[in-house]
Amino acid sequence: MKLGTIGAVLSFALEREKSTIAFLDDVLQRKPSQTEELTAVRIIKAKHLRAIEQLRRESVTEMILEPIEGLDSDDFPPAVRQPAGVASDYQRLLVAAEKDVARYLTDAVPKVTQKDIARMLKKIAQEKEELVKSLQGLVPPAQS
Amino acid sequence: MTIPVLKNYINGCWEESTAAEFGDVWCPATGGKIACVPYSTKDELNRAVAAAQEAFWEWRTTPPLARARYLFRLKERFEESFEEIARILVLEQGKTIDESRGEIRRMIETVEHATGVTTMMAGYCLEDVAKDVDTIAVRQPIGVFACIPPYNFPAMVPWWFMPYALVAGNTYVVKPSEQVPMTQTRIFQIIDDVGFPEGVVNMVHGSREVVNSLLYNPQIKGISFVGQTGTARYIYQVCGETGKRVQALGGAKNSLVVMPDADLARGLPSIMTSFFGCAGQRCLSGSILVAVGEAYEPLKEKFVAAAKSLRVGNGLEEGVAMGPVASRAHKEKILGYIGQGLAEGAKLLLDGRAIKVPGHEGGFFIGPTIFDDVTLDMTIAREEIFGPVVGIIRVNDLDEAIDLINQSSYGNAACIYTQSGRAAREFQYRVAPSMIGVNIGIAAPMAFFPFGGTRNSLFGDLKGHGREIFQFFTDTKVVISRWF
Repeated sequence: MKLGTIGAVLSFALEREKSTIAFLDDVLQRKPSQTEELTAVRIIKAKHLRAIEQLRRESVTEMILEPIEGLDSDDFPPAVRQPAGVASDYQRLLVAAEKDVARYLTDAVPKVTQKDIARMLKKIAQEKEELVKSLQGLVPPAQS
Repeated sequence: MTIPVLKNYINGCWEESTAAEFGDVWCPATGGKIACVPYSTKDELNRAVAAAQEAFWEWRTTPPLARARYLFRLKERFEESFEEIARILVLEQGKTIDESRGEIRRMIETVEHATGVTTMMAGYCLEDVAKDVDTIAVRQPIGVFACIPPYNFPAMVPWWFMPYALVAGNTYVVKPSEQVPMTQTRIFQIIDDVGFPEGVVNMVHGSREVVNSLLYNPQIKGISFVGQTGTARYIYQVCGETGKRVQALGGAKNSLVVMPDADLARGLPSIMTSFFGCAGQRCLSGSILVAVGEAYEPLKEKFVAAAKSLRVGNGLEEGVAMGPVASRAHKEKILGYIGQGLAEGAKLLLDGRAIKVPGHEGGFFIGPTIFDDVTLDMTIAREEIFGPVVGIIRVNDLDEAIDLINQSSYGNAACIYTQSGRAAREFQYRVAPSMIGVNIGIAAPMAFFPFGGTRNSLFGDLKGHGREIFQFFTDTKVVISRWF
């Protein structure tokens, strides 16, 4: 689907953030050995979710009928889906999911004309790069 | 699917109406029935007013800051329920989800602004107006006020008035538009949760009978209305007879003037928003596109191309740029105007009449429609269409554009696109309408500025929100004192 409006851009980011958080919650329910580290990741992701929700609430004050070009949800297939059971390589999947969201946000930033929204998305994308590094540190050697 | 029957909110309780007549609420995107709204009785309205009158004195003696705290709580709850309210609004009104989010944001902004009551409601004083004589002027709340909002902004418009009335110490009755009553009903559920004292805020659904009962109820001290000019004029007249304060905002016929030096690349998105945002159903929407001199050819070409590419569909789908119009009857009215434009000799550059939205065959859709060669004697150039229909008029210079705008019986908004400060100043100085956009297509004053027009666009003296709104909702009492 073409993400042609600012609401569509932000809603897609929210959808991805929520699905990764749901995946992470499933992992955490199983009390893995890295619970502490993953809980820290969960807190940062919740912060990102709140920030994007706030952007959608507070920054879409006028509908500008200037189509946003070049963003399509099909170009960002989900790295994680709500699992029936959590995969054993969940660390790798989480890394992939965070990378995808970061890539999406980075792609979206230059296409968004509202500077305050673009600035915040860029900030979140940068924080996600850091998050990816943290998550990569959790991937067992055989998987990395 | 069970169709909900909406309830009234009177004296802090949800009540089923005893009305004999009910109206249908439709989803404009599908054409399906989604709720039933009671056309409440005069007795129900009078009970709500009596409850508001009963609650007045205790509320009026509550410190302003304590009253403002209710608004702080409301703001917090509105933020929590933001997306839910926005989606209900789209469901019953038809606008796009982003437009709906924008509307809810504007609604919350008035709540935020009204919390500044302790500054904005403060009076003034002067010592020694005569020997040993001092004078103070204080603003006092008046009693029960009411709001009759329109169907195009079901969330926002009641809140142009209500938070200010309440925080100033008045009590309130809202009669939502019977076309779009669900949004305000959800908002009143939040009001109920927040726990205002019983009777301070009330909502009575209904139609003409409730409106007339409000107008003639002697306990109502003032009315805020937004809607069509004919109704605004009627409400103004009746409030004059019955001695009520009144602010009645009517219709509009807004022009956007594009000068030859306009930066079209940067201006076009907001021009598009002006004409086609909310499917043209805003009292600030552009209706006439005035092309000055050499601006005509490039403007026409780019404007038509951009309008053709707009994605029309169900407003609940992210990415849709324009939703349906609000009702089947309104769609028919707009189609009538398009037919009339053709009959009177205007040239149709883009015809939105036959638009099809797959999966939404029953929806009330009209695509972007653009007429060229429009002249001021045509009906489509004079009357408010309130839909995604644009008339292009060519003029030779700015003087001619200003004259054209000033011939209108309306005076809501006018906008100019130019890179000349001189032209912009001349425009804002001389045009009659009260809300002016310079390189802005929707000249919508935010909560802290007054909203309203002139001529047939406003009947009354004080406009919506802004600092002046506290004048509407208070009486200025002057105390002149001398102590022996």
